[in-house]
Amino acid sequence: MSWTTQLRKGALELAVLNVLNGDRLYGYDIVRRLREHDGLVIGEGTIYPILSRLRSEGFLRTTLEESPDGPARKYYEMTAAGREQLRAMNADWDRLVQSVETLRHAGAR
Amino acid sequence: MNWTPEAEQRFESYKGRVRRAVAGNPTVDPDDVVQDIQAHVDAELGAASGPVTLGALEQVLETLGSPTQWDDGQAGTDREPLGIRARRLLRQMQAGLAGDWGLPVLLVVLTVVSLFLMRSVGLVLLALAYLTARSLLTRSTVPLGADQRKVILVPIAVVAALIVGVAVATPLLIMGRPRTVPAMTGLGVWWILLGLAASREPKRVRAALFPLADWFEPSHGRLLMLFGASLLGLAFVTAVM
Repeated sequence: MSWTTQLRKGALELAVLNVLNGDRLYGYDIVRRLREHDGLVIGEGTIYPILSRLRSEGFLRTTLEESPDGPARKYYEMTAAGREQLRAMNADWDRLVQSVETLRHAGAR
Repeated sequence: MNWTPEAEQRFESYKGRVRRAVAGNPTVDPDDVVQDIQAHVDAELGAASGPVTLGALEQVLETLGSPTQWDDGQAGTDREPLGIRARRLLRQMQAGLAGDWGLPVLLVVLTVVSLFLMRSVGLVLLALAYLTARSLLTRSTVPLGADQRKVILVPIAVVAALIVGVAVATPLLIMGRPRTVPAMTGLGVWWILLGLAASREPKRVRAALFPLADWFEPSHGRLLMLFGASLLGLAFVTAVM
């Protein structure tokens, strides 16, 4: 597995939680929002096992709602545990990016 | 939404692959994922006029990607239970078995030979043909044509028929003659229990007979229960008369 693939897989869970931060979306909408960001998602189906796992871990909850366009839609939203997890993950991400940036600039000198 | 038969068959097969791909991850519910995939495809193709064609479906499936690539990085970690890890390693090994046309033909030959050698090594050969055929269907890295799929399904159909036959007729294997009251009663009770189990766990039935029973729903289990109850009724009437 290439390092970009590994990097993307690690970042995707964080991206999914950030998309859902303060929003209530159904699966396809989450994919559409992630699709707007270049290079983040290669196989769009990858998102759905992540959503299922985040739900079983208690970070997301789902509700079914009737849709005017067809079958009922499953909406995802974050739980309190999910918001807490997102705060921790964003902090980890910031530290990681800062450390790598520091090393990059030190190497460039 | 209407589908052409080819598109419908392709999508059912894809959903089967999705189920198999995520089945090894204990924190992912295959039904959950398939439901989301179905909604995704509905959203992409629902607005199209006319039935969904294979070409249109393939475009959507291409953006979804191959389910075998959907490991989200959780599998293979230290917290992964030993059983799950063993299944994952088995799947990886199965993926390596996937090949081209030569293998499907070899599998049919192996299946036929195994039927002739049932008194000695036939069961082992049949199991080998069956496992390899399932690997080809779920793990092949090259797209399989409709004819290839038909050939690959031969060992799977033989094993599925054996499983169904043994599962449905177990009391007769034990009790013998089907027209006696005890045999009918045993068979009736057995079908009710089997139907109850199948209606409660349709996923296991679909997995055991994959991909020939993707259509299986709890209502089919309930139908078997109904047959069982009818047989019990018949046994009662026969005993009274």
